[in-house]
Amino acid sequence: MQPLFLFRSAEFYSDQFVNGLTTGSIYALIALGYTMVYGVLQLINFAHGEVFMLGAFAGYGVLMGMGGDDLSGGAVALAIVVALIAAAIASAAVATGLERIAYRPLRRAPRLAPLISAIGASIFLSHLVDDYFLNGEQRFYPTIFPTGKVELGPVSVSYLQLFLIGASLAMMALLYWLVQRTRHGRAIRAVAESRDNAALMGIDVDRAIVLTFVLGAAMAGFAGVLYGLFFSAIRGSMGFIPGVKAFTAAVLGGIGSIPGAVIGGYFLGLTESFGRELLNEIPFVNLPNEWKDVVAFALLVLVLIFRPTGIFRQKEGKRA
Amino acid sequence: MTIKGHKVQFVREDDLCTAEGGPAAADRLIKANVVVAVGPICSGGTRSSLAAYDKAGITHISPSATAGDLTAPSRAEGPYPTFFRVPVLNADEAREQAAFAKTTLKATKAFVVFDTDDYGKDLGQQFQKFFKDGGGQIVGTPAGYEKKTTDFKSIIANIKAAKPDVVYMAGFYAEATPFLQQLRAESDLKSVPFLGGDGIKNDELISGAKDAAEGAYLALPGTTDPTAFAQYKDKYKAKYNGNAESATFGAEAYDAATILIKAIESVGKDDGGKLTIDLKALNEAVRKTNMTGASGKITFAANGDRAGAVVRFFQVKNGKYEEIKR
Amino acid sequence: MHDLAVGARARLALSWTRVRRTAWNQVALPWGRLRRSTWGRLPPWVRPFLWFVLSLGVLVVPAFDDTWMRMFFLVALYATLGMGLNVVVGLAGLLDLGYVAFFATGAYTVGILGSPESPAIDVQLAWWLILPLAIGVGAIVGVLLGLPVLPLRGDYLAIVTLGFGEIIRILLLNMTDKTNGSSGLFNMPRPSVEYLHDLGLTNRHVVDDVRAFYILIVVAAFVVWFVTARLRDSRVGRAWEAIREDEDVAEGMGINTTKYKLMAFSLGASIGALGGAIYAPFIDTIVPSTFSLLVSINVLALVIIGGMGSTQGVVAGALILIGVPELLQFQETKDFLESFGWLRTVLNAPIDLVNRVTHLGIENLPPSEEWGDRLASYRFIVFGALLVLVMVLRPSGLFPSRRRQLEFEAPPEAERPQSEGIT
Repeated sequence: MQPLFLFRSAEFYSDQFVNGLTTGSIYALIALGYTMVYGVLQLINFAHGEVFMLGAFAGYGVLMGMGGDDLSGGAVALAIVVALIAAAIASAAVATGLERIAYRPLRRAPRLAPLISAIGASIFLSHLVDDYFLNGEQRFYPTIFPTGKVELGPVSVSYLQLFLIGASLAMMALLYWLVQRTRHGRAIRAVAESRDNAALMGIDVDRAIVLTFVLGAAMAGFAGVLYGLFFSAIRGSMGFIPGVKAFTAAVLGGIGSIPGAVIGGYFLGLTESFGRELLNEIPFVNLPNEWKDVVAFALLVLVLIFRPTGIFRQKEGKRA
Repeated sequence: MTIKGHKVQFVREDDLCTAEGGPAAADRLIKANVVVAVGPICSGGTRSSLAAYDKAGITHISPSATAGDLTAPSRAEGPYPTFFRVPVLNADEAREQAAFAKTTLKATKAFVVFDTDDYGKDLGQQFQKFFKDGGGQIVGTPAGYEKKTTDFKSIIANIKAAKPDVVYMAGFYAEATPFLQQLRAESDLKSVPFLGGDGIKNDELISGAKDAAEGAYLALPGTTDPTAFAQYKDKYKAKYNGNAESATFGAEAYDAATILIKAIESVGKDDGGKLTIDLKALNEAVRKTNMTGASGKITFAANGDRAGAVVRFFQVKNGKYEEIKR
Repeated sequence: MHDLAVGARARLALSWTRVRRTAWNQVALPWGRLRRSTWGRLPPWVRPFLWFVLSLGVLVVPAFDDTWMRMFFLVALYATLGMGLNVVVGLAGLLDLGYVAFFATGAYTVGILGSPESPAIDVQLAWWLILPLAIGVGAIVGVLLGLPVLPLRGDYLAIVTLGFGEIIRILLLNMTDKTNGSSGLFNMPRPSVEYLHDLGLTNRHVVDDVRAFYILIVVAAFVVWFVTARLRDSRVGRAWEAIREDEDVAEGMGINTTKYKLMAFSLGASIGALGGAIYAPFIDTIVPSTFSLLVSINVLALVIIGGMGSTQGVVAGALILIGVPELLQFQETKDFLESFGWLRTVLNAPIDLVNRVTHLGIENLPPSEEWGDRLASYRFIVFGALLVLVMVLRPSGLFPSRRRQLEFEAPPEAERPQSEGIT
């Protein structure tokens, strides 16, 4: 039924490449929170996807409060900046609350207890929004971002995609700088190396852990607003799939590594759309859209078989 | 509400629109001693609960389950005698949609996007079949998505490359809304006609997608009888303070309930203060239904399907659905 | 000054612990003595058996109607799955987040080989014939999925198994020519009990109602419990424990870790497949969406909430995590909750608050008697809250097994799994 060779246009592939970069940016931003929390607490923060979701809703509330679809001109830029900041703050607040209620009491508990607590918090939050507040409905971000695109030969990128990718990269750079170059960042890294030794050196371990959650959550909050602006529909369960994918990205990059999470995110985003379409060029291979997630997880398995601790982790043998 | 002086009691159960929820909800209804049921709503939940209702002898009318095999199950005894349905089937809808795409939209190349659930997959496949039978061509690979998907960018890149004359979507408005927004955000695809079905025609589509919904074509199986529908609309307004036209399958559900209540009235016998209802006779009474309801004239075929189907078409114009005369 | 205050606080904390321990002793020790006196005299193999009969036997109350029996069936099914996953997670220490893959394997083996709807293969085998096949297929799938991922450790394994679970679901959904896709497979073969009928033990010919299925799943649960309990106390069980405690040391002791890990994986998988093979005829319609990540989470959560490694814990976990959310679905519960008018006001308050500060435009609960229906949709909220609550209050689970209880004391840092920090 399908022709043996598709040979689709360069334009098509560049579209899919840009799509991959866009979703990759979202994955990468969320993955940062996973990788940092894991690095410090060895905890898969399953509720991180919901922190992302609540960020998206906070941003939505701000945008609607400032005028929604009626916004225009300079007010749009202002509203988006305010929405991004509000989302970061809201997400950080939620993550701090989570840490206090669901994780801190379990810091010395058996290994799997915090994981189950995190899963519980994730289910609770997504269904709280979905079933209690919205009764299964979704909300739509106002379409206020200026339309139009930049074209360079076969490559065309919309302003919104350009903004999304640019803003994500800027925030990731900011985070990297914060963790690597500031005093607070050093405290986080020290606690990640050894909690007991850090405490002996006079570092406030609790504060460093909260800070880790706050930084990761802020990134997820940003991602939530960018996601809403780009894909428009938001709902309580929206955090689940990006959350799982972002964690996959963090593992791909080598969990604990900030550049690893970023590269893992882009790698996964690109594989899902661009990589999958490239595979379709092979005769008899037909992977339509519904196989997207299979491709992503198969990639994960393949990478881990050959590099059991991710792409960016050199050391092996220790329990991860 | 009373029948022959006896109060009608309503029991509600939710099957969550899932196959595994169907028998559970049926169990709870049967346990609550219901005599008839309106439902289930979804094809999956209907298919899995047909046997339970049949075993209990409870006649039920679905206002909205449209999968073809529900009235043609692969069992030796043939269709379940206790099951009836009011809606028009997927196959009828798809045939009319394919004809509409070809004659009214003058499309020869269609790109198909479908929800991977029962309804979307079936409707999408039926459309492909009828469209190809009519001389049309399906371009690109039909793209499936799961419920709650919001990222359609990858599908849209495929649509852009396939250059279709019409984008056909079999699914629901919850996903059609972001799909249309993302489709129309692509400058090359601003004006390609969009054709959808009954799952998508909903006021939420217009309020959610706003400008992106403009110009979209939507098929709605079934018709409305002017006088009966006006009555239903007034009652709906009085009770729920809402617009009956926006309640998809509302008229069908209203008719299903009417048929059942009339049947109970005709076979129920007041037995010294107790209303006795013979379930067999009730089933026969439903089978012989011949009435004009809010959704038009209703008679049932031998297998429980509604006889004589009509499909209407609408286009979104200035934020409203306008019916298209063909 | 500052140091002094810290010291005082530490002493205070220490004495508080002592007070608590004394209070505990006053309650717990006499009870413990009493328990040891009669309980302790029983032969060691009888005790877990009695626990098992007590914990499951409570449920065998024929007075319950079908709705309740349905719930008990699900509780017993999940308890069985829990015992299976416990082999993998609790005994061998392999964190598996994709257990649903094996549950689905069992159910679809029954569906494909037994349902007349199956498009892949034109045979209809009897359920008892398929059962060993399903268990075997489960074991094979377990080995196939296990082989490539067993070198992975800890959370890497978790995410890969999670991926496998999702892959299986998507495959079932999209391989329409084998599985009927989202339409699913139905009209499952029913387990025949003709033999028992001939013996005059039952008046039915096949297992076809909730009660009969309940008995079937309890029998299965018993077999699973017996096999896993015997294995745990055998050489194999000790090898698993050694691997769980320290894989490198276990390897150094001459334990073939790959072999034992694969054994745990495939035993857990075949128990999952057994559960699926019983679930399929019970539910009669199997669709891919049933086999979602939520099943894996449910099973893992009840194992850990129950207290890893203990049978009564698994049953208690299943009662809480499956039973309580299911209860919210009952009409009686809805009517009961609806009778409290103030509850509606309480539930509306946060909605009003959110509406006041944002423009989300959230609808209030419906005013009429229908708001009880909305409460039924809150069962996942309740489920999530329960997970957090139980873990925070009892981090080692409700019934931690005695041998493991020792390990549940917080490990010193040197023995905790370490990341290599953040880079």
